[in-house]
Amino acid sequence: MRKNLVFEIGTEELPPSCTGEGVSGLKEILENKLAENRLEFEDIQTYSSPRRLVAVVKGLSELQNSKERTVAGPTLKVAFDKDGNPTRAAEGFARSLNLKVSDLEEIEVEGKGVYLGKRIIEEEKKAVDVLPDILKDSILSLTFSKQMTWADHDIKFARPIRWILALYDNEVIKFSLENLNSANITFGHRTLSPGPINIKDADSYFKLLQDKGKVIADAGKRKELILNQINQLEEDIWKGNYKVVLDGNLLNDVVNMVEIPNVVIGNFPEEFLYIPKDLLVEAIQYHQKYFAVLDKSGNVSTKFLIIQNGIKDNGGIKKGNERVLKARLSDAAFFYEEDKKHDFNYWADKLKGVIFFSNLGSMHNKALRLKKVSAYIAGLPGGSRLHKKDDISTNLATASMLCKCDLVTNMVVEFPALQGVVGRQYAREKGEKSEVSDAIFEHYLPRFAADILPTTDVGLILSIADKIDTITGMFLVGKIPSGSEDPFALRRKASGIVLSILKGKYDFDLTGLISYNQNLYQKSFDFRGISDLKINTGIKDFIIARYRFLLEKKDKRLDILESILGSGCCSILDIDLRYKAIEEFIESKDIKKISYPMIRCKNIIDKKEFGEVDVELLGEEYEKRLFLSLSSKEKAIKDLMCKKDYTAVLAELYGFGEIVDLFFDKVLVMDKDKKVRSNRINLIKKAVDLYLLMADFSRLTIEGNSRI
Amino acid sequence: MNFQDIIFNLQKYWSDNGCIIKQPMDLEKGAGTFNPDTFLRCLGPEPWNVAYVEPSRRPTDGRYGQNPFRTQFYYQFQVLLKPSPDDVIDLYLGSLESLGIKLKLHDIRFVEDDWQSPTIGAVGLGWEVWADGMEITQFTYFQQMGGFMLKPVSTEITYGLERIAMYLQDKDSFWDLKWSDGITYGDLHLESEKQWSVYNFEVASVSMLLDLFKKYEKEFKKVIDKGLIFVGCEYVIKCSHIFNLLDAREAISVAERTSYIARVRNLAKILCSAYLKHREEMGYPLLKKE
Repeated sequence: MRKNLVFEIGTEELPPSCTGEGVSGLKEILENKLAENRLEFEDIQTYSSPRRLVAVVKGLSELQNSKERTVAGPTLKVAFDKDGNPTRAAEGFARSLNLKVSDLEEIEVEGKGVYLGKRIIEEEKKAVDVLPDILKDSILSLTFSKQMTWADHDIKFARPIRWILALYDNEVIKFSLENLNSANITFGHRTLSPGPINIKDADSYFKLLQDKGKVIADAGKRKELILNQINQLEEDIWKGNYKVVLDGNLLNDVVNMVEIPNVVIGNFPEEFLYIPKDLLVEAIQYHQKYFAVLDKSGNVSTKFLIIQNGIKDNGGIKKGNERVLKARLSDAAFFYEEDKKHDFNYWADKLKGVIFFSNLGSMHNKALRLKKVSAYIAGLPGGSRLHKKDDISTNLATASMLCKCDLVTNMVVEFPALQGVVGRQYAREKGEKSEVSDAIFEHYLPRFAADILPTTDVGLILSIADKIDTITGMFLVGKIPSGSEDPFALRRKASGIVLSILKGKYDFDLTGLISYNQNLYQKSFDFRGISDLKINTGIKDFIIARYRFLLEKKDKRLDILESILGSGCCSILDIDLRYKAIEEFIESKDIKKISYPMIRCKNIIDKKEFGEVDVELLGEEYEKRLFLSLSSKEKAIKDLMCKKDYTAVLAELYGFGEIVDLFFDKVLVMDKDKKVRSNRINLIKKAVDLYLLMADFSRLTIEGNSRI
Repeated sequence: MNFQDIIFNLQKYWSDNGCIIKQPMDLEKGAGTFNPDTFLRCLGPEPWNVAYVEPSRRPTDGRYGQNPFRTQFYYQFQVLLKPSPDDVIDLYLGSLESLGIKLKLHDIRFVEDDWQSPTIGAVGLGWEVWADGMEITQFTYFQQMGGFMLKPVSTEITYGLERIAMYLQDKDSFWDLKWSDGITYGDLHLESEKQWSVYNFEVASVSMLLDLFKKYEKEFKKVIDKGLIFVGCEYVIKCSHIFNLLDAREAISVAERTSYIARVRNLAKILCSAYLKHREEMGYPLLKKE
């Protein structure tokens, strides 16, 4: 028989970030523990509200699956004497299992021999007998990024646990944890339904919790309810004249801050509408989690939405929240006015006192490095095209010095999420060029996975420079991400670098840029005992790993990337161009015509020393042909490589393959004459080098070979 | 309900619920947490339940009396419950009801706000409590003080009295609050708020403050060496307040801030360690009374 289990951990109000962490952790732990305990189930769903984490295990088996295990004791030779009587070893072993020797049997262990032993079938325990430990352990093993203790208990959790409901069908799974006993009791909305609620059985949990407790434990449903209410407002009441700014993060927070949502409309005084839009919207959203509302022309209106916790408002809630927002906005206005009294020189000077990172100097130092690093990128091949256009380098220099300034403005100190946005706004107000003000905002992009990318060259290059500089600094002070630990989000920054390079089509060698950046640090700060090369390679590999990750996400072939990396290429753009060419080539042509001949060459030249080819020693027709072809192909391919026409390079290599194959078919490399042999190997080495200009095609995984 | 009646009510409520009612400390400080009845008493194993009003000063929050509810001076009502009771939130909600707040008509919310006070090495997890969006209370489970892990854990409940009064009296500004019949909060505090804002932001002598900081820091070390823990506590509080004044004068660069904070925290750590040792030597007298 299979029944449903509902397991609710009742807590004090959980932070929104902890509910997500909690339910995914709980699900994983339960899945593992149920499997370990051989309890079958159909599926586990998790739910949450601010005061509870809930797991529902559907179709949970009433009995454990049986399990047979074998215990082996001494070998037969040891277990019985010449007369076939059990030895002390055999008797001792039987005793350890609480059995007689006559109960034991012969067990054959493959490849080892025959032992005296016993096949033991583990007792099939009832689910209700195993579940108490499983559920208790799952609470104890649940961890959160921020945990606390309370009273004099040892247990750590996101917030204090106040009750535990554990119902398997209609049976309470009984266990205790600190001073709590699990039961069939839950608690509803704090003020609308303060008392305990008895739950009859697992299947009636959600209905009773909603009907009696006034709580919707399904975050997805709460979100839907909010969106429906907003939709209704926009269409039925506002008739399309107003639109709510639906910030995704804000919505998720709000969903996890109420047990049952109710939308209330408020208004704030018009006098605040002069605050620039981005700043005003953030001031509405940030502290109080309100939603801003735009009018038809996209300007902020005086309306705002409050998502409150399910109370029927008789006016007090609206009025109370309006009063709060008015004060918040007057604070924002105060900060905005204060900031107006200053200029970028003032802020830039203040940056000297802001630490970028311990042992990596100030934000002012960082700005100075950004100026150099971004100029370096712009001056590189691929970047040099920019100089032909207007004054990108001047704009880059200005933007570098201004981009961190807003960190010391009152606005950003109060509303940290506005970094970049405030800088852009103030740069506009102070009359900076739009290329500069936009770059101030864009250099932080992308801020999260799937965020927008910079749109201008100045923004893209500054964004790359800022991220390279942070990653380089962090590697220099040993803050290198490992496993799931990445407290400074360096992986995201590296992904940002890759995406910006691809978008802006900047072709530069990563190692060159990194060592330039490293030198800038090393001129100012002391990093003892650090290997420059190791750091440089570490950062290069770290960034390329993000390119690899992008390929993985798209289910693309990684062996193509490995083959390109085999050429030593470390320009992200160049790697990408080669990747696309090879990928396209594979679709229409047989890449084996390139890779096999290369593998044949590589097999011959393994671990040998090489010299120049001596033309005089080339006697046979097909080695002469190979030699001639090599010279002409090398020139052609190098020209094409300069133009980055990798499709044409592949076509050349494709044709070249025939000549290589003919050479191997007609010429015996291992000639008796040592000189001739050595000369042929030198020739082959040249062929390998020709392939390697583009990629190490031998690293491609192709059915049926890695070596032929 | 007049401002002073809110205080009477809360004192009565928490006294009925087992707290001793103490009076404020005679020293400038940023919050009721600095009062040794919280700062020190939350350390060690002894139970402790206390409530008191604490006049508090945060120089950087001054707005020359222009902002309806941001000021450099205000009153906190501080409750410390050690160990934290299981029904602590219900107890707290009960206190709101005792002030006449109808819980079923208002949106009372516990919004994540993990609190820390780096200057005294204090860390806590908890919430700000919203009543219809207005933050009226800070609710914290202390985890560390002076860098020491705490066991048992205390709950600190800090009511912002002015905000609760605004809420109860339906006023838009501190200054309009009725302190008692016929006297407003503004009558009592507006002029001083303006003057202190001017002083904190414009007039306070930076060189004097820097000098005082050094001297207080030195004095702390002298008294703590002689085992005068409660005297030492006051010098930590003084240093912390001087730091806040310097901050308001923008006399400390962002880089220097870290080192000033570290200096005060160091004093707090020495102090807490001395207090813990002292109570242990005394044999934890409050533990025996239980």
